[in-house]
Amino acid sequence: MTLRKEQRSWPTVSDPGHSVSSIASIGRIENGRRNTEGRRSAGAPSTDRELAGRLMAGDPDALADAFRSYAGLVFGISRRVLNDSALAEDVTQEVFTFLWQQPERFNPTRGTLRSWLGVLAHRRAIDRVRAESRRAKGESRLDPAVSVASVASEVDDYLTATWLSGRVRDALGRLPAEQREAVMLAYYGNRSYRQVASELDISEATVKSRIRLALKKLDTLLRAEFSDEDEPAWT
Amino acid sequence: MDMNSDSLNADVLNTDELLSIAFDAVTATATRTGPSEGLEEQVLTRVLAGEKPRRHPGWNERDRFEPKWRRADSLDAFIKTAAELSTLFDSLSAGDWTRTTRIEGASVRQIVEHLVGVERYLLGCLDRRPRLDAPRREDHWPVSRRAATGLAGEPDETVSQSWWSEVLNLIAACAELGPDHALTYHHLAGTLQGLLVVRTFELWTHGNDIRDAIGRPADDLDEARLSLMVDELMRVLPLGLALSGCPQPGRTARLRLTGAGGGSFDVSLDPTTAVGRPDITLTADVIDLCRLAANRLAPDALDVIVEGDRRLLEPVLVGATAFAAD
Repeated sequence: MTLRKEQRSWPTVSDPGHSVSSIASIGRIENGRRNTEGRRSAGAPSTDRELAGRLMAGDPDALADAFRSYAGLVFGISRRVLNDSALAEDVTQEVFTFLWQQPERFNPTRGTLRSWLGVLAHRRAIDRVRAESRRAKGESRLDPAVSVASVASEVDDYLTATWLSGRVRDALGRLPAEQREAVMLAYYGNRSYRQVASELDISEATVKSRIRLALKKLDTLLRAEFSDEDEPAWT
Repeated sequence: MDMNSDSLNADVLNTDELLSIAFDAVTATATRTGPSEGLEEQVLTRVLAGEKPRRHPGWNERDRFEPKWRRADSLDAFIKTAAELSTLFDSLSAGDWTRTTRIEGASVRQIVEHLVGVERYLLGCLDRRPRLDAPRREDHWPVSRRAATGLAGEPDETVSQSWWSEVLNLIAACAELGPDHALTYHHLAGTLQGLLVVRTFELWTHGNDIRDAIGRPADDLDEARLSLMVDELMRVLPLGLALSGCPQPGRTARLRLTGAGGGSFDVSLDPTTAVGRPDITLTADVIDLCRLAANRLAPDALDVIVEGDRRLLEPVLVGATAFAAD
């Protein structure tokens, strides 16, 4: 050995911070959601890509980090569609099993890990709705459409995301103007409540109130897309 | 384009932002019931006890999953650096991709294509792709260009995605083979553990090449990754002097590297002799020494304080650059 180390200490690489967005905690807007270096990019932040890399390496801590960050979102969307907590937990397990098995399917150029997992949860929950519907009707043969959906190709993810985002865009157009401008300013480019308040020359409390009302209205407007009442329009 | 309250139009929101609005709406205002407390343990236990990820063809899927790498290892450093570089690529404008870098007149796009080629070359070394013959250090650039020729004419985004895809393939291969797997990288024999330190170093260097070309400030690595790189550099420095034809048998240098990630190292100036009392002490900034080792800082531009036998300065600096490969 030709090297003698005099004074060294091994530092550790800390885990990247991940947080689940929540309108209640205002965390979504305060926490960085995307990289803003250079220009506004649609791609995922570095921490999402790092998490995908760690999952690719088979790092169990990465799976735990992902679960703690996004399980609430995945479960929430699933339960919203299925209206059943037990089924929503099943879907949550399916989504995280899929993430563990195939993290390479996450394309960070197209968007955040949060959005991708949300889309996966939505698609899996809709699959469950259809399966339950067929079972209730006494149909035993597997619907080919469900088989394809369960395979969940990247094209399917992309089409679902595009379809769903289109419906959100339509719903935004039906909001009262003052609510629409508050929510759009907040979500565009990751603005903070303070920045939105400054832009609109209103108080932060008013911004929060308008966004809360806007999201509540959007929840109603998007009922068909996140519901077990009807099959989604994109099928 | 920026948006203000006078130009509100939902078309300016991208897919990710629209989805984020939808998910916040349906989870924050309609669903008050969260998952049960035991779900995390239940899911993680079941997933980790299940089949190994299908992406690793060499793994027996009936076995339980057992990771071979420790956290804070060179694999983590490589992943973090690659993730940052991938984010940089996604932030490039169309004009940025055509900018000329300081590397052999190559454009930013050609640098990214080079990186695709290097990952493919490495995957060949690990028998995950057809092996490419590139035994010399001088083969580094040309073999990477050959490995990436299929990307000619493809959109810039495809080049970036191809690189990230190969990075993931490399991560999977490294995870499967483990840190002690032996391989030869051009003229150097070593292990995956050491190779990933070298690759981290190269990714960081090329990221700064690109930042320099597009007028952005250089990015300094965090202390943990700098520490890994410096440890590796000090470990191989005696070999570097030998490869450069200037070994100094029986002589020792003390390198005091200042700044986060630095430290004090006593290094033999010949791979066949042991460390002795320092004949020369060099004090320099840790980032500067890394830039020197990457051939991004000329030896005469290094701000260094020398104490002791000054004749040993040049061999030390030459040896430190012995492993640089554009």
